Amino acid sequence: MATDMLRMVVMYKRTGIYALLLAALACIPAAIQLGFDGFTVPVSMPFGVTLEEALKEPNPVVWVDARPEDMFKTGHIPGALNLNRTNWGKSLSQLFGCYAPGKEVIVYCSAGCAESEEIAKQIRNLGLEPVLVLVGGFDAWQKANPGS
Amino acid sequence: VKAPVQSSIAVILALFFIYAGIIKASDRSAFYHDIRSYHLVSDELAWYLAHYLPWLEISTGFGLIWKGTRNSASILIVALLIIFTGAISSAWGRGLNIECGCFGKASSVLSYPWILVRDIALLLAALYLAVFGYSKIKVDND
Repeated sequence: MATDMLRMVVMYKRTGIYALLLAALACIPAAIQLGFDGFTVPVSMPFGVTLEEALKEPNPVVWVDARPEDMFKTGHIPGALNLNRTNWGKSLSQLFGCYAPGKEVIVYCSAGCAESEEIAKQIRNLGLEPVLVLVGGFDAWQKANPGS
Repeated sequence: VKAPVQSSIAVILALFFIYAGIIKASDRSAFYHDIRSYHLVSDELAWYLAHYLPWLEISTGFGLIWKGTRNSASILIVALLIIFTGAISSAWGRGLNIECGCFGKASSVLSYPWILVRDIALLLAALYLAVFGYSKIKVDND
């Protein structure tokens, strides 16, 4: 009886040690990949998406232009909605009309502006996912599409 | 009869987890976005989990194949599946329209009932290995 108990304890102990070893083993390649990707979240990572990545997206994308209306009128990404703090209440219904699960919402403004981050945050707070920000803004689009 | 059944379940479960792990480890940024979309952990923790979880799935997958570590691996998988099922149920309860993140970008939009049924089936398989694996060792030692 005592031998059986001892055997059980040894067996459980061995199982626990192996489980810890398996869990620890996974740390090695994870740490190597973190070494390449960076141990802290890159600034652009939470919401950033490049134009190339956005264009490769297989599902249709909902483009949101967070710039003021006059800038939007002079040029924007085809099919984009103009949604900013000024017209938030008015244009939000348009966004819900275009959005469907599986579609990425990509917000942009001019290069170097922070408005797209803010609008993306507000859209995310409504429960829509994923909401990303175009790295380089509308300037990145214009560079890739001269004359647009 | 028991041993071949256990081995078959272990191999199927192992291939499932190894495949899922490789897909996620190869696209950490997509997996990071998927973890974030559950709104359960901070961005920093999501970043670390996006790097660690795929490799944990791979290591436990290989652990299932080798008989000596099968019990330990199946216990880890049970723990993982309980966490995954809890996270998915929580997202469903909050009405989130998100991607599962189960197989990286390939998983596409989450169909909650289907994913939950699949996870519970996997959980039962892993539980079977965890419980009956112990019995087998005990018999061998006797």
